[in-house]
Amino acid sequence: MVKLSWWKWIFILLMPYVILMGFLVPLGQGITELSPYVVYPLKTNKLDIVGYNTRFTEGQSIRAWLKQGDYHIEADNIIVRDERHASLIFTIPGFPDTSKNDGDLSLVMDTPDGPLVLPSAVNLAAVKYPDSLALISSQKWSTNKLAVRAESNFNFPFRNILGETIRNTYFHVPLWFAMILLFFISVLKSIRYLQKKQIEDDAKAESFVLIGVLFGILGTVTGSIWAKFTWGSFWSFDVKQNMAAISLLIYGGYFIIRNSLQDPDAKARVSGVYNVFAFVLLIPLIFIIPRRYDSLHPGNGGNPALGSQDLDNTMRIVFYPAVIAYMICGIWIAQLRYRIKLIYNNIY
Amino acid sequence: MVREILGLLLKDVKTEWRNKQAISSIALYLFSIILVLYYALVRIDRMIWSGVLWLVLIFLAINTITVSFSRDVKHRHWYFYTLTHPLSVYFSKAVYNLILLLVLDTLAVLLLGLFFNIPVVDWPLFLITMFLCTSAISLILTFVSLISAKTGDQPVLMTILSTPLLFPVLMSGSRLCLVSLRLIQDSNYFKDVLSILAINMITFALTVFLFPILWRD
Amino acid sequence: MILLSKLSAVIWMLDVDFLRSTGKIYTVALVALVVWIAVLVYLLRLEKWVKSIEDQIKSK
Repeated sequence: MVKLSWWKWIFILLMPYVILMGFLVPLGQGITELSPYVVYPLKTNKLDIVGYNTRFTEGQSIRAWLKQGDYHIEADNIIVRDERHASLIFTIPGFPDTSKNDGDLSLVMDTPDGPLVLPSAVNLAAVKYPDSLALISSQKWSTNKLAVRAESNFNFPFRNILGETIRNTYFHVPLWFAMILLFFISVLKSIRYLQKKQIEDDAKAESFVLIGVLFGILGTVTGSIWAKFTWGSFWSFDVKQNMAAISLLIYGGYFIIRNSLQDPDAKARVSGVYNVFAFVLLIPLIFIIPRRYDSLHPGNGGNPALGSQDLDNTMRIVFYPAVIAYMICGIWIAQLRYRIKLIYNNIY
Repeated sequence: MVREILGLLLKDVKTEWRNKQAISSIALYLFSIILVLYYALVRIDRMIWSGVLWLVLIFLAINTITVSFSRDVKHRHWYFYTLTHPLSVYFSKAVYNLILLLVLDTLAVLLLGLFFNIPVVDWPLFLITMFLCTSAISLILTFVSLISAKTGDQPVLMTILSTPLLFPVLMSGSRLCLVSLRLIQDSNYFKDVLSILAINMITFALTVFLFPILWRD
Repeated sequence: MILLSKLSAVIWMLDVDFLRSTGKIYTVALVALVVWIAVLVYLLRLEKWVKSIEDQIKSK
């Protein structure tokens, strides 16, 4: 056995944890199908739902609400057919907020296992009816606090389009975090070289850029595989995808510069300058620009990622160790490459 | 240092004026491209006008800056550069390229109008876009051309290095162009203008820091 | 008819999640672990080799 630094042991211990937790923790409850999509006021609406990982037959105390903003209305009746299939009967007395005609309603259910939410579940048809008929409905919109029970099991959230592929968050996103870290370290080494002119710093910078580009390519490939299953095609010309590809191409230029110069001093100087240039360009490209455009990526188009919307607390306890593990992996591989490079240079 | 910049700039402009080599060769390129397009397409719909314009602009930019720099790789000019501050070299080159590119861009738009049409609806936005994009392109490409001049393998390196660096400018600029043609309705186009302005400023700041380090030879 | 009732019984027999009930998720996790162990073994062998060369250079 080889004597390893302490931080390499962190990687060796964390990675099986990430893999096992990432794959074996079950997903929470969710609703995969709901029909019909439109509900009408003052009529008996029967919504058929198909759940995922639900146990409708266990325990009879299941309640359902349709919710818009602060208003919610409860289901009259819930007919359970088996563990995954159920029908919800709603009668709705018109729009909750008569000043707005926006008909998007979410479905919230309360089960013994915890809450079930389907955002933008149905659309309330804007049908005109005389006000006198509104009194006929048995249910009224209310603004009381919804009484849902807390989630009782440890599981990952079920998100609509993602489903089980949410586990890919542990394997795709940390690649990008590790890439940013590796590029940052390489920029530090480049700046150090430009100040102190020691050739080892340039060798370190080059190794870190190489492994950073490797992680970037892996991130792009895993991202497009994930996109194929969730967004429909390998390359959706999403802003973040484009920007990531452009950043990798810019760093490709780094290697082209290094290949076309022979004098090691000039090589180190010019490529160091280009490295700083590329990194300072990278930060606005990947972080700032995608936020301003509508994007398919969760967390863009207005909201920052890693908010409470996208990353549940249960996911965080696997996600953060995954990020740390990938970062250490990247640093380890880059350090090995640097040492091998030094060996070959010393022999010559 | 401003005087140095002006001095170098004036030298470049004067040599160009006497000996219109760079601008005439690129203008010839431009004219032949437009002619080829005319024979191939006969009519340009306003759907693809923006795309054609941007293709021509990118081609113009890369060729102009390659030509304008390769003329200088002679000992006489290099001697001047060792006397002056590196930043004045950069800025004089950048402003010179900017002027060249602006002239050529205007020529490109006019030629496209002569042969086909100019379906621009929102002229102020179009002109601002052209100016900002040209200045961003000129700043970035001058930096890249000076890097590649160090290596000696200039034209190939310039093209390869400049293509990914131009992408952000290209994306925002072509989007703004489409808006000024009223092909897409984007009431929030200001963020594109801001992003090109930001690219200008970031490149400016970066080169002020990095260029003297690069030039010390 | 018998087939349909058997099918519905089989699918929702276990009260854990769908993927685990088909047993396939364990295969995926095992494959991921095997791949990771292979990468780790390669890295450790590289470390050993680099260490030995470095020691040789130092001892010279």
